[in-house]
Amino acid sequence: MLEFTDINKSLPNGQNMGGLTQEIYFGFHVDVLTWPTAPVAPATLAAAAMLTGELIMKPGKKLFKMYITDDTGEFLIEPVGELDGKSFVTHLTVFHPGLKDTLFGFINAAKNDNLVFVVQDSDGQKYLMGDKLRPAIYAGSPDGFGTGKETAARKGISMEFTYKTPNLYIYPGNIPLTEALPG
Amino acid sequence: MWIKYFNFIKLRRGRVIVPIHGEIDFSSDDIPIEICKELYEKGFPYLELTELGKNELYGIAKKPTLTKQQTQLKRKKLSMN
Repeated sequence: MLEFTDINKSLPNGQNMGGLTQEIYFGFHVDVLTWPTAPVAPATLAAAAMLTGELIMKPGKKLFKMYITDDTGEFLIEPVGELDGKSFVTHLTVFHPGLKDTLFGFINAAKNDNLVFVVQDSDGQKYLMGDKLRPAIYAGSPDGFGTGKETAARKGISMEFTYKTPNLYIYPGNIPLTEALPG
Repeated sequence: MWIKYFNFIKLRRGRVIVPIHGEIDFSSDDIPIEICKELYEKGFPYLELTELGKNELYGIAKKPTLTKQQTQLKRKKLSMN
């Protein structure tokens, strides 16, 4: 049975910087072999927010990293649903500069496919977008996608990805950027 | 050199983002042993101890392997008892 506890100010080393780091990590949902598990009957508030285990990719698969322009990455949590049906939609918005072939290729491949993301905030806390049942998906480009009008404009692509989740969790595990081996 | 003490398992040797330390490239031989030890002790799933690592880092001595002759002698002694 979950016990409530006091929720005090908790800013280790006084840190509470906003925003995301300049890299996000992504892969195809189908390439994940095992997912971290959500807590079952947690005893404490902290335990109720912590995933257990590792994101393990299928043999030969890995996560990839994408550079994003500083101060453009945001992980936003939107509570949704009616009374007795509340859940969350998490939104990842980022901006990647330039209109190069790899980025076009990524959008071509990702726009209608199921994805997984791991994002890291400025304190190093990680959030997983995707679980065994639900992927993260491309939702659009809220801050533009193109050359811009003026020469001083920023050419590139903004991207938004969303993930629907019944609860909010922190991912304390590792991010494998190297191919998984069989077995 | 950390690879004397640890095997990198489950992934091809390469980059992993780990808590606190960030990105570590395990294809490099120059990772401080203290970091590997810390990760291993926190349950990092991609490292396992080698026999030398067990012995030198944790003082776990390997059981001596018996020669064929010694094994036969041991069996004989046991059967006589």
